[in-house]
Amino acid sequence: MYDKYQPVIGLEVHVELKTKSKIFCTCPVAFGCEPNTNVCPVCGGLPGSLPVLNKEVVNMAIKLGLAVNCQIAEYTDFYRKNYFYPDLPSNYQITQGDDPICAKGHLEVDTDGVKTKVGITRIHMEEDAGKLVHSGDTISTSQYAMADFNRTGTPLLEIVSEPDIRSAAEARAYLEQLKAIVEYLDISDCKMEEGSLRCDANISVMPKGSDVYGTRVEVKNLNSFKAVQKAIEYEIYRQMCALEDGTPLYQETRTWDDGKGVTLSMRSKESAQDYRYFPDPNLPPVYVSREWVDGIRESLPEMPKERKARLIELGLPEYDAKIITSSKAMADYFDACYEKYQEAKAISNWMMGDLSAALNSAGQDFKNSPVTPDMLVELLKFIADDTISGKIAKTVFEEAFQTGKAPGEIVKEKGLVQIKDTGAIGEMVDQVIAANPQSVTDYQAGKKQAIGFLVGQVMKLSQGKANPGMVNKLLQEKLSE
Amino acid sequence: MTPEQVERAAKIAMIQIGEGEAEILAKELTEIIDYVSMVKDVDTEGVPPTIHVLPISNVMREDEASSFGNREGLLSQAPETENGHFKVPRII
Ligand SMILES: [Zn+2]
Repeated sequence: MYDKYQPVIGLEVHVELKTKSKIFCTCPVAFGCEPNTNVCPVCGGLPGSLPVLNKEVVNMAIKLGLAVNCQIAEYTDFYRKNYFYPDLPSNYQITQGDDPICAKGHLEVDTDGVKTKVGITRIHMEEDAGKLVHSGDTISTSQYAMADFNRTGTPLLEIVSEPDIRSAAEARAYLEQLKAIVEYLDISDCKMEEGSLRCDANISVMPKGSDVYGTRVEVKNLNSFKAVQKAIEYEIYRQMCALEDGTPLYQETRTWDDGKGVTLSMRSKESAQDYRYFPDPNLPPVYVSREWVDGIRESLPEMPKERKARLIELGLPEYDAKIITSSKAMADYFDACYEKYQEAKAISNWMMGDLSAALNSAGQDFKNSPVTPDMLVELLKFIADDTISGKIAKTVFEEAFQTGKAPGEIVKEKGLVQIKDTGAIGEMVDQVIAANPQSVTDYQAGKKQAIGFLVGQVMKLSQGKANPGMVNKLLQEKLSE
Repeated sequence: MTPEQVERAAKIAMIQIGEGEAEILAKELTEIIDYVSMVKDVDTEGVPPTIHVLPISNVMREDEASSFGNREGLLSQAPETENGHFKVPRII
């Protein structure tokens, strides 16, 4: 069935900007505050109040537009999208119309090594709505809802892709790469779980070779990258089955039920919404001078693609460079290490191995890692100059991660410095030879693998501190005496 | 304008209209639209749409935050409140 049909996917991504104040008023953009404490007559939708555009929102929109190869409009303006919903105090959302701030861009997407180009139709600025808390246990049993307008008026950028995406994996890769760019630009927290990065997917399926798109379904409530991929996979499957069975498909909005792993119909579009878009008379248009755009272009930080190329030049394999630059925090961590210690591969091995594993299981990330770049570099230097063995290094790392103590301190405290003294190792080797006559006989009779056991015994005796290479060498010497 | 169009406009604007009012409004609105339609005779070739009535643009402010600080004043404008929230009808 899968080789008969072609899925067509477009994504609408909303990013909450981390400005200090809201898009059209001076209320602080802040989370976790007492309800309705960050509300004023403007974002509260009171008649007679006047919105004034926050310039930083335009700056951030231009930054993102440039980073995803968009054309930046010379002229842009704001529209009202009219609808009634209790989380929208003014009964309209201020958004943009036919002249969005950015248009006609694209993102180069790498899906498991396959490179594609996904078009970006437009990026526009708009305001977020408030939050509703339902009384009672569930939505269906609630008698009323309670509205908190703290989030109302938080600036959003909506990034609309072309229907260029062809698989769930590609959709996920696009979203992850878009997120990395937004993170690098430092314009949003990009936390899907907390709603600062949101994604809706438009999905249809058509017979392979056709150029007529199938019935389009919009899927909402995608709260994680995994949900995006799973929901699209499910929806493609559902639509293909319907086409196979000849059951009708409807143009509708569906919601992803993560627990059940299915999409469910929300409302049919039979009473198609009429938003009565019209220009907001309270907001004069904005002319974006080329000097303004050039100034922002010059201030753009290094983007994931360039950063990846730079790390490859430093000697990292492409795979390592891709993983490390997929998150800004991780890439910054790498750079901080590399600045002090120029062994790129040793750094990436530890970052992608023990450190990533420890951070994952502790639910932390590279930004606030208990093992700082300085600490990791100290540890790597100890390994490189044979102060400690690789095995002991893992113990030191775990201790450092748990306690935040410097590796040097741990090594000193616990006496973990590697034993490289021939005399001291020789004594232990003698002890082990004396205690294991059978293995010695085996070795001397030609069973060379018996030495492995003896090395292990010496290491055990030294509590892992003996230099394994020296142990091996001394054992061989003494056994062939 | 037909009475059906009036009813639809009233519905999406959440305005209640009484029995028989749609017919009266349809007639009145048609007259208004006819009157205003004379602007269609103006040659607007090459004239950009008027987004804003005043010749101003680029009215922006710096990104600085300050709180309004009168939550009780805002809440007092609502018919019903609860625990610092605006109480609204249930949705769905
Ligand atoms: Zn406000």
